[in-house]
Amino acid sequence: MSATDGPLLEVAGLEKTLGAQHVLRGVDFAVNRGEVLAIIGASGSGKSTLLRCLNLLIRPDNGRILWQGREVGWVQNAGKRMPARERDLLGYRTQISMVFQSFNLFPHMTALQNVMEAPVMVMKRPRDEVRAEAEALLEKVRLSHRASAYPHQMSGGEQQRVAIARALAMRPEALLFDEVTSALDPELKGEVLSVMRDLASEGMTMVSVSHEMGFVRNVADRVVFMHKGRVCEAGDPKDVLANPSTPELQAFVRSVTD
Amino acid sequence: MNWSVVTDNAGLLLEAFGTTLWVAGATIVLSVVLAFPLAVMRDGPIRSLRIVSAVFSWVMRATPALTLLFLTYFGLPQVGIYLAAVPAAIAGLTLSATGYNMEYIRAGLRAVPSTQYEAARALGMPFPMILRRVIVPQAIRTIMPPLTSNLTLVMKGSSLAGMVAVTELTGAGMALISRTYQPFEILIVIGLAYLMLNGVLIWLQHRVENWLSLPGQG
Amino acid sequence: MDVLATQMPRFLQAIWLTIWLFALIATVSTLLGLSLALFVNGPRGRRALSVYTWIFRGLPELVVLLFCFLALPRIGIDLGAIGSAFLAFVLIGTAFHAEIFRAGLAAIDPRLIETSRSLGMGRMLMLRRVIIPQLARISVTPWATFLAGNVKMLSLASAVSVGEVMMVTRQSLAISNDPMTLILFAGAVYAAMASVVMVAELLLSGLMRRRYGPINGGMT
Ligand SMILES: Nc1ncnc2c1ncn2[C@@H]1O[C@H](COP(=O)(O)OP(=O)(O)OP(=O)(O)O)[C@@H](O)[C@H]1O
Ligand SMILES: [Mg+2]
Repeated sequence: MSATDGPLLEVAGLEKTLGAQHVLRGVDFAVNRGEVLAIIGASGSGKSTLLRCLNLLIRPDNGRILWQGREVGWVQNAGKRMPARERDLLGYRTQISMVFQSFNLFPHMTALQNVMEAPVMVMKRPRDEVRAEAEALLEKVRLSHRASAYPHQMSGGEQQRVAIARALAMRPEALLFDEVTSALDPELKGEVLSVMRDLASEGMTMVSVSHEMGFVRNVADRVVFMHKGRVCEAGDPKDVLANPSTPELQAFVRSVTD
Repeated sequence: MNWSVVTDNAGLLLEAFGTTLWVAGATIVLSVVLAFPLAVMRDGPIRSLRIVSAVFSWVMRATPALTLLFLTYFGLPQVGIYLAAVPAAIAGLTLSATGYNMEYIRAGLRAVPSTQYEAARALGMPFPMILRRVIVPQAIRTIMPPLTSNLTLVMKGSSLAGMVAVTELTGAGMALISRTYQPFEILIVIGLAYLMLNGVLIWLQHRVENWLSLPGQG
Repeated sequence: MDVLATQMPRFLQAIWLTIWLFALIATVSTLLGLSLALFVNGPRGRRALSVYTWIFRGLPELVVLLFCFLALPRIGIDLGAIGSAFLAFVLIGTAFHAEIFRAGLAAIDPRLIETSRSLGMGRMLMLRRVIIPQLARISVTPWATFLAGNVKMLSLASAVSVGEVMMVTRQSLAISNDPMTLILFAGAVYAAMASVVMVAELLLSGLMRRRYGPINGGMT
């Protein structure tokens, strides 16, 4: 899998209907290697749906997802474009890993076991090697002392940092974050955000849905503003947030600043 | 298959069906009526009554219904209580069902927040009135679903009466089988009768649940 | 009292028979019920399963038992007393267990499934590492409650002359003038066995709660 010159991840014309609702109506953007992309937008604008599509947890109805220049989620079969089988998506999912708003740690496993689960069971790497790496990852999210704790014994901020370590344990090329701090009390948000800031400075490629305007302004390289299932505005966060050109973004900026 | 064994004995089977309804119905009514005061005692203020009802509940739930049935049918005469087969069966089955029903009722009573008791007491209500006017109307929502689903168990349980010489459906069936030796036809007809009863009870259960889910009800 | 003493060896044998028959029935019906709940998919399979569970949960145990013991031999399937009791209780137990585990599966937090997929887990791996452990937590109480009832239900096997505890009790009644003692003894034996199951469940679910927190714990 050689790195190409183009963007690491590119989506074009992504559409998705859920139930009766046309949630994504043609989304286009690209993420370069090492870039931090923030996605903002009002509730219901389709941000979570977009992230789920990127990871192929749900399958877009239309449009293309290019990963390192190659289309994922579809295969050419006898000249016909066919949806790939779930089994063939597993490898892709380990390269683009997701962190959820509600942590979703496995309640029957300790912090360390949660981090080790995918590398050992999915990627079939040797347990000893993974254990050392998992311990290092817990150290990185400043949780070495909680390695043997079960999720219910940890604070929300700690659980979310374990979830980040778990996502990193797959050695992904990119990370997806879906409002990872919005279930947390203000004093716990900081510890998660600082872990994310560290990752950004190490050059991790990240796509983050976030309502933390401080994070968007100071950490993101680029911001995408979603409105009604489309990208409404995009660009450098400082510019875009300071001088929104569309009335929708102006309204959104006003609503999050006061 | 030879269904004449069923048609020839239709009268007998119908009568047995009636006995099943009677045994099951009596058990249901008696067990709920008995379970209520026991459930109140179980969490009540008097320690000795609490212990007695706790032990009663545990014993009745841990002992097979068949054993309780044998107790009322073969055991009671020993202490001078002679019951005919049907009343003895109803008594035994009622003991068993009461043990379960009182747990459902108790769980419902406990689900009402204790602040409700306090508020009612602060209004000067006596204990029976608190139960009747405040607690039960709120608890009924929690109590009814398990209680109605327990009805199907009681109905199935009535078949045990057939083992102490009560000619309800199963008992009549067993007698008929040993006389005619046509187990297939007889058991299929009996099975269908039970499934039909079961369907009626499940329908009743849905009705109760719908009724409880109406706003302002229960 | 004398009869109880003279019959004691037979009672002990009967207790042993009851225990192993119960263990066998519980194991087989749990595994079958679990497999049905996990692997029967699609609308037609689901409908067939729900008809099966409706029938065997709706029929009195005694009727199923009599069917296996009296009717099956007429079409050439003669399993004997113990075999018929085994088949009947496995048919019934499987129906209940399939229902219990199906409800348990529906109660698993869907976000855990989504997370497992996002970690690249395939279906079987997810089943083994996430779904079954969660199911064990959610379903242990209804499962054990059913099994405790099932122990008592074995007393019905006496109707088809399986030599379990109730059978020996009934035979002893015929030669005793103290039925009360015999019946109370039989009741105590079943109560003890059912209580072992209930206490084991309490200990197990308490242990899991202390260790793993509340069911679906750690989620917001
Ligand atoms: N499974 C579903 N079936 C039907 N509609 C859905 C489904 N999931 C989401 N939707 C709808 O799609 C729209 C977009 O949902 P999405 O979760 O992507 O929004 P969001 O931008 O992430 O919002 P939030 O900021 O509240 O998380 C919402 O209106 C939601 O009601
Ligand atoms: Mg969202």
